[in-house]
Amino acid sequence: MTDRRQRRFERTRAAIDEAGRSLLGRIDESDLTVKMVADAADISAATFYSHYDGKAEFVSRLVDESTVELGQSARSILGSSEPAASRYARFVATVLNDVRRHPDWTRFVLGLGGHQAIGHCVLHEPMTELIVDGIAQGTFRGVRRAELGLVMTRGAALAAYAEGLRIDNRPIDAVGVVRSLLLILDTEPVALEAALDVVRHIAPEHSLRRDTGNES
Amino acid sequence: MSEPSTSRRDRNLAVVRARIVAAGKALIAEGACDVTVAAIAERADVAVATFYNHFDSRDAFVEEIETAQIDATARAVADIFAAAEAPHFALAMLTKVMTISAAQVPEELKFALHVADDLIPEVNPIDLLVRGVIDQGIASGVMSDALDPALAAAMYRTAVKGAIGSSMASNAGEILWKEIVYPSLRMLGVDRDDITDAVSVAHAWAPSSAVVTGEPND
Repeated sequence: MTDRRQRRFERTRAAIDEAGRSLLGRIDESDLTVKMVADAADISAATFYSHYDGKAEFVSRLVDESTVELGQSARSILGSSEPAASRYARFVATVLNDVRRHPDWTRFVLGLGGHQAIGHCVLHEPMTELIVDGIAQGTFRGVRRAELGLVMTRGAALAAYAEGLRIDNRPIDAVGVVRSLLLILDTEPVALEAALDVVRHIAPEHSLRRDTGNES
Repeated sequence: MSEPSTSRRDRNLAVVRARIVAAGKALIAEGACDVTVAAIAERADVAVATFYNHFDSRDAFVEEIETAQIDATARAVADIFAAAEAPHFALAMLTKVMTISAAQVPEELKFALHVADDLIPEVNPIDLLVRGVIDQGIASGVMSDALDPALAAAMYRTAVKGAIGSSMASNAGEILWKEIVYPSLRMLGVDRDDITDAVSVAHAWAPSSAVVTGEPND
């Protein structure tokens, strides 16, 4: 394949993948058809089949790739050397940024569109470690069981993300959301203030999603 | 005791109907998205034709039991809130009822939560009630840190539901409602002393019914 053909092939593939993620952010996997993907990517169904064997392979590849991507981004934030509360705050605020910048992608990875959440398993482990860390450091004083703190904050965070996706004309109060979540964990006041500062200064382009670089 | 019109036949009909309703609730609560009449009949151990003696169609059946559930849950929540003297007491009492229900009638509660989840917040009577209480809490200053009532209600409900759900799933024996009340009220900015008050009020309060179910008590 010549370079130019190769580049075109990759561009088309990126468009197909994007269309798939976007659709799966809004509809159930069982309702997705190859024709819908082809239409959304502005290609023919035949072109789709030159990239993928069919819907099943397509969806499982999308899920696999997004899982890896999301896992790496999450690890890089949650595995930093900041205090636990700040890492927690940085992570939540980053996803809230994504809600605005990549709404369909966020719906897709968080499973808010009806597709099974891929973020659920990928994020569970690093978030649990983080909360266990915070408890050990005496930062999260209110949780005797890390599991309960995790479930409650995850649930509340998902509700906030869903609300952010629903209301697009009113930016969601990221500082307020993070404060609520840190209060669930009964975060030690100094750590809480430091964490909220992180949210106040987080750049709007912070994203868990790595852009493909194929857009141009 | 019984109305003259309540013949044995009528009573039998009511029993069968209750069995069909329970089967349908259990299947929907288990997450089966396209519950079939055959599956409901199988679970209720009745013939498919018997199902149609009671209900016109699957859709009519689902609609009827879901509507009944929403009405009943909303009534129960309104009763609890009416019995509470302060907004934070109201939420602590609701959490207590839900956790007791989770232990005593898990299928009923799962169904109630499932139905409530399917409604958008604007028309969800349970959400509206919770939102109203949070609104009062913000106005009275006891929930000083709550975000706007709609978002706070959504976050509160999902957090509490998650905690109850995970306790149900982990089969951890008795679910500790006090352990859930603390973080959920803290989330709304209620301070420690006020939470302690809410816990003792809810502790001393004996709910008239442990159940937030779709069937009125008969």
